[in-house]
Amino acid sequence: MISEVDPLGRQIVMPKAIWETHVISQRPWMAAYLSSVEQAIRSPTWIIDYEERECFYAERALPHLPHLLLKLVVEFADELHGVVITAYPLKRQKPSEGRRWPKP
Amino acid sequence: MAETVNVPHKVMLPPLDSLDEQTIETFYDADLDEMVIHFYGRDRPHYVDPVNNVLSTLNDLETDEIVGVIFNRFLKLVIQELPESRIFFDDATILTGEHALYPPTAGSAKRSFGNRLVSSLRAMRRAWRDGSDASADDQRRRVFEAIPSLCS
Repeated sequence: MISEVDPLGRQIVMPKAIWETHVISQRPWMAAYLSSVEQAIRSPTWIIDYEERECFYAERALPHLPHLLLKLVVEFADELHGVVITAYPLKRQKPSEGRRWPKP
Repeated sequence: MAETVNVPHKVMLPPLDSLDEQTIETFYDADLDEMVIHFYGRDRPHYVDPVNNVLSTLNDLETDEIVGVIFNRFLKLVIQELPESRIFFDDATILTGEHALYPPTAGSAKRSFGNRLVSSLRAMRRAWRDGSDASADDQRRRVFEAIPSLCS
C-alpha cells in the first residue's frame, strides 16, 4: 500500500493489512493521515533506535496539527527493508538517546 | 464543576463518574506489547503523551482532555509483576500481524469489565494524587498497584 525510501536509502513499506489492523482498527480517524505516513518515511525529522526496531518522528507532517509529531514504529527484516507496524500522533518531545539519523 | 485530578506530568484524568461503560474499548497490540484503553471509544481523535516507560495517555486532539491510556510493555513488565492483569485480555481486541482477533461481546461481560476499569482508575487516581513527588519508578509501582483492582 505504501512504499517509500527513507533518508538512509532503505525501502520502507506499510502493507494495507497492517495499516488497517494496527492503525485503522483502533484509530479509524487516522485514515485521513495516510499521506502523512508517506511523508514521515521520506522525510523524518529524526530516527531513533528502539530495542529491535526504529522509531521515525516527523515534525509538521500532520495537517493542521503543527504542535504534534507523527511517530512511526518500523521493523526491519534486513538492513535495507523495513515495515511500518504502527503510526500515531505524539506530543512533541525532544529526541531521545539512540539517534540513528541524523547523526548527533 | 467536573472533578479533575492534577498529578505528576500534568496528567488530568477524566471525571470517573462520567465514563460510560458501553463506550470503553480495549485493544492489545501483540506486535508492540501495548494494551490500549479508549474511555470514549475508538472514534475520538487523539494524540499519545508518554508519562513514563509503562504508561501513556491518549489526549483529545482539540481539547487535550485525556480520552484513554496505554499500558506499554504489557507482557514484558505489567503481567510479569501482576499475573492477574491478564484479565485485560478477556475484553480486548487482539491485534497481531495482519489479523484482529475480536473478543466475545456479551453485554454482561462488557459491563463487568467497565466496572473493573472504573475501580482501577479510582485506584490509579489515588496513587497519582498521593505521589506528586514520586520518582518515575515510584509512579510505575503505584500504577502497578492499581491494576489488581481490575481482577477483583
